[in-house]
Amino acid sequence: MTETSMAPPPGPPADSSNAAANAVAAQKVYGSGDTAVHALRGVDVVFEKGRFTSIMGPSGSGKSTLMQCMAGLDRLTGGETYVGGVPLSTLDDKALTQLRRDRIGFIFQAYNLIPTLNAQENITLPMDLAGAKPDDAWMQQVITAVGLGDRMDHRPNELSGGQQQRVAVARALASQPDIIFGDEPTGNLDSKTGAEILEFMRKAVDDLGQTIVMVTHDPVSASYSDQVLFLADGQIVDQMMEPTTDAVYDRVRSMGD
Amino acid sequence: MTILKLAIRGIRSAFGRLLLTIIAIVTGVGFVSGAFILADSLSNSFTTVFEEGFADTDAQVIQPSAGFGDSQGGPQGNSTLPDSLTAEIAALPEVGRATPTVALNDPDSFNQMAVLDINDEPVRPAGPPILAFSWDGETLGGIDSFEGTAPGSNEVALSAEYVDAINLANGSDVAIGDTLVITTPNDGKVEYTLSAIVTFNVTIGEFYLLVDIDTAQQLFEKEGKIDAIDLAAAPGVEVDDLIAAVQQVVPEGAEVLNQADVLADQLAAFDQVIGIIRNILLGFAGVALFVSLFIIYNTFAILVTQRLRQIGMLRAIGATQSQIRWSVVIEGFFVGIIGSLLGFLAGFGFAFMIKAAFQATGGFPETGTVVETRTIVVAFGVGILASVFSALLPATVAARVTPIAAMRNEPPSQSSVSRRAAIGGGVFILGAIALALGLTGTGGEFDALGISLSEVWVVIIQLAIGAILIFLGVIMLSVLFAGPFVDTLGRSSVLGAVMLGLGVGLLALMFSIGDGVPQSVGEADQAFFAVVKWISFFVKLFVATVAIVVGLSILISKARGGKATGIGGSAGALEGSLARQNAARSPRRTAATAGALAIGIALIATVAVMGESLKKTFADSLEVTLKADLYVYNPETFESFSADIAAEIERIDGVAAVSAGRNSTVKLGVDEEGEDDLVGIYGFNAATGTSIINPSIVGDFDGVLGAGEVMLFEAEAEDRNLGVGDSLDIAFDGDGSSEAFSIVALFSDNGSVNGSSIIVDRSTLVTYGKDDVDDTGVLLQEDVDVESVKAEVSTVVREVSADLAVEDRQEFVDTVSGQIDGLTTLINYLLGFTLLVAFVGVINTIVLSVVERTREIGLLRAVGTTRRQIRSMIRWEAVIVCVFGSVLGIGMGVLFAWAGISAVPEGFIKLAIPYESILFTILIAAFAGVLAAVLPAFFAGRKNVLEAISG
Repeated sequence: MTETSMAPPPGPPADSSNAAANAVAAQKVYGSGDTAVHALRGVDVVFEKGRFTSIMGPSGSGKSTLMQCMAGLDRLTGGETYVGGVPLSTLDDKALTQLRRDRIGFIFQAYNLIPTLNAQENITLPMDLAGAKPDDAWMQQVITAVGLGDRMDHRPNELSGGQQQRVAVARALASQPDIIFGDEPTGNLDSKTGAEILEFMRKAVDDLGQTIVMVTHDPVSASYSDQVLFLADGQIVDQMMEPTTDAVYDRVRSMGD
Repeated sequence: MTILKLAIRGIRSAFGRLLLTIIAIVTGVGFVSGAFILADSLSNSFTTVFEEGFADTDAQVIQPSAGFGDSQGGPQGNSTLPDSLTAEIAALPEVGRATPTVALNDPDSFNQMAVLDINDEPVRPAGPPILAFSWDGETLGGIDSFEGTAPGSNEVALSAEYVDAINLANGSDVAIGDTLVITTPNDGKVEYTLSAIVTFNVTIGEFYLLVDIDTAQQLFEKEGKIDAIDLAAAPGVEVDDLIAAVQQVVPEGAEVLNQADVLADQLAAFDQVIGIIRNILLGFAGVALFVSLFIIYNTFAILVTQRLRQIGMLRAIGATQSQIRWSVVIEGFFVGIIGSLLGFLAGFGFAFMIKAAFQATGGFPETGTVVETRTIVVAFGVGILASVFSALLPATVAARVTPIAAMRNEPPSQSSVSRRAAIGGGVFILGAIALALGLTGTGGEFDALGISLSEVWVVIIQLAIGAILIFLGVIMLSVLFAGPFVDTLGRSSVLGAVMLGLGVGLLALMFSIGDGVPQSVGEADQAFFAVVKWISFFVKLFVATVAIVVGLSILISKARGGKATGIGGSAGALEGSLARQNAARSPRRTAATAGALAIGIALIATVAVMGESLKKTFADSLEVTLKADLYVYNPETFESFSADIAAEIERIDGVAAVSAGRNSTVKLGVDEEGEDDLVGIYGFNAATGTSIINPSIVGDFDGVLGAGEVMLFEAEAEDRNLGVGDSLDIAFDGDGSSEAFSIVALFSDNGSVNGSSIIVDRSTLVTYGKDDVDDTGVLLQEDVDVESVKAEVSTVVREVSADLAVEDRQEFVDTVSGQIDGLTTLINYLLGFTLLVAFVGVINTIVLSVVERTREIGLLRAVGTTRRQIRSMIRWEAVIVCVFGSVLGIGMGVLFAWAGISAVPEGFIKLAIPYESILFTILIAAFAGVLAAVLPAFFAGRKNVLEAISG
């Protein structure tokens, strides 16, 4: 039991001008009537620019739902989410798709690379879909950071899991999005490779100024971030700044996960 | 660009899976392009031949016929011109040459003349016709050279190809100066000396038999008449001037045609035939394409399901719905292009081979294979359209995939089963309405949008649309009962019982009402059919036996296993149950796969039921109406023969009575559209009354017709509001005159009078120049030996014509049934292609569903299911789907056949269902399922357990 666990949930931040993305009274209900499941019960949260945030919580706590709704993958049933100040509920599918394409990056647990495209093509895919030309200097920086060297023209099945996930991270970085969402990005990797990816993400925040929000259940992963939010039963119940593995571990255990 | 890249890469990676889909398109496009290329090439060859033939002719005089078709004559060509006209025209200064020609020129009279071989059999090779013409030794277009002299009296010239055929039949060579026996249409057998062997520049396999003009006029009964005069202009005279001059002297109604018109005229008839061949092939192409729609749809639907994650990811990182939709459509487009290209090549090869076969057998001219731009456009057009169209629905489903699918693995939302069934119900009802409109004939004529169609076509189109809609409706509705059907059939006790029942049923039918063990057939030319019969007998026997064995073994293992239901009851229960659940789990896919199969089977069942109904109707009708003990007719060409034969037969000992019959067509005035109102008429020997031919006369009438008296077919009488005592004006010639007849009786069965509506005494037809006969019924005295009288009759008949057959009633019924069988078999072979496509579709679906279930199969393997069990599971699933498809198809086939039969006016045909073929088809479908599962089962069994689970 740490001191922070007793603190009341943080209220809506007064100033969201520095927010890459934020949610106000976010609600998500699946189904209706007796069978209704409240995945989010009024969540207020701000993800500030240039920060690396982890979201943790037990299964069914709503952490994935929160991320999906904030990333414009799914829609809320109440409240509002913003990306760069744009209220997502006002956007139709096309505008929302455009917003995801131009301002949001994704890193999935299962890499989700296109098997028929090589590493280079996978990285530039979002820009190709938009018909936009990548910023050469930035691309050079990203590709260097990925560190694949001469393997850039290899297909995903010719790369190791860690290499594939680095390509996936690079793809998320490539379009210089306002914010990158990760869904257990190291869930499929062994701890060493996972650490490598997390280092890479950390560097993207520190050196390239990116904003990353990551859902994870692993305290080690969470320790790489600047801040951890704890969700339970569809609400933010706690947060921890500058987390360490042990502190997060203790906190998670106290939540009975 | 990215979407294009993704689509192309997608095809490349899934090429193996798309390969079977591509085959589906190849078949359809192959038929389309083959049909066009073959037809265009044939047409081109005919044109070349005729151009050669008329190279020396600047113009031609003919007399277009004012009459109408004779039932013997088909479309009557031209009337004759007077002999004297030739001299009159030749006297004109503009005319350089005027050559009269006489020919057996109506297409149905081809083959009437033939040279007899040393065994007294006419030399008449299958396929190309024998054409008989007059020839003066100088002109007649197309002749390159000849040896010998032009034929004079009692002489004949033959084309070199025909001489070859005769030599082949004789086993020795005939030479100029030899005497040949020739069978003729009107004068029986004649003996002529071979005076010349003629080589034509170009032929398309046809044979020529040439005589001088006097002989031709006598042989063809055109004394004092000629068919046409070929003209060449005098030196320095323009063709237009020649035509203008000749026009002054020809009789009224005669036409002077220039070379181009002559060619067009001559080609029209051939183009019509070519057009029919082309349209039949196009019909099959349509069916094949219709089948491939289902297969392509299925493939793309499954591919989309397999790519859920990938599509979800693309959506998440910013692909729009329309980009996703396009990527699937573009994939469909490329599959269409590849399939069309291969199909076009296949069609080209098909047409080329058929043409090569023609050339090898019949001196077909070496003109090129014609590929019109239109052929390419249509072939690629239909291939690509079919493919893109089928990919549209899966593309829409793909576009609906949510971005979250990248993280979960949930199937996209699809229209619910109930909604689909509701749409299916609506489509079915629309189809039923169209069918009902067609059946009741309430459509009338169609005349709008610049298209005018006669009533018959409206009915046909209504029936066709009805059939297609009902088909689609049933397939959509089948989603509802695919689950329960598969679920029930998949229970091992039910499946065992059904297999056993089908096997026993088939055996019972084969040996009771079916043909049973084939009788040995002596004649050499029937040996082929005997072999076919034996093969089909043994195949059926084998199939029935296997079905019984399989059914019994399922039931026995079931009984041993003890438990009545549920997994694990018997050794085979687990995989059987899983197979059943797999097939029932996705009723949509089961329905679409079964649907592809059902189309082919529905069409085959339609043809089978209609054929069976025709045979049954015919046999039943003859039972009542044909009282003759022997029947004399020409089974090859149904040509008329001299009435003298009937008189001679009557003189034979043991013959009680003879009725000679003649068919013709007469005009009963003009209908509302100004078209001639034509009906069939039958002249019979009224003196014998109904003792030989009994068309089921209504009321008391002995069938003895006097002059000026007719009997009218009951249904025809109802249509025309006529009855006994009314008068009927009948025109026998095209000259406009008609004669009033009095209706003395009605008859209700026109089966024995070749479907004619009017019966008169044959003497009436003789009055109008139709003095030959088409058939002769012979009634024998009681207590005579039928075989010996038959032998005597045969001798008399063979004396006159080598083509006539003498058959007793059973033989006659068998002959006609055989012809119906031959037709249905031919159609079924072509439809078999469709089944092959559908079969490929079944393999395709099962392969894909195995891929889709990789994880599940891996799990089953991990928990201890053996490879054998996995293979067995896949196999049963295929069997269940195939049986479902065949049952659907047969149900619809019977319905369509019923509709088709009901649409025939006057309720002439009675519905008869070929139960034996139906049971056989279901069992064959089950076997096809086993076969279809071989490849997919192999793949499934081979899967690495760990990879499958983690995959």
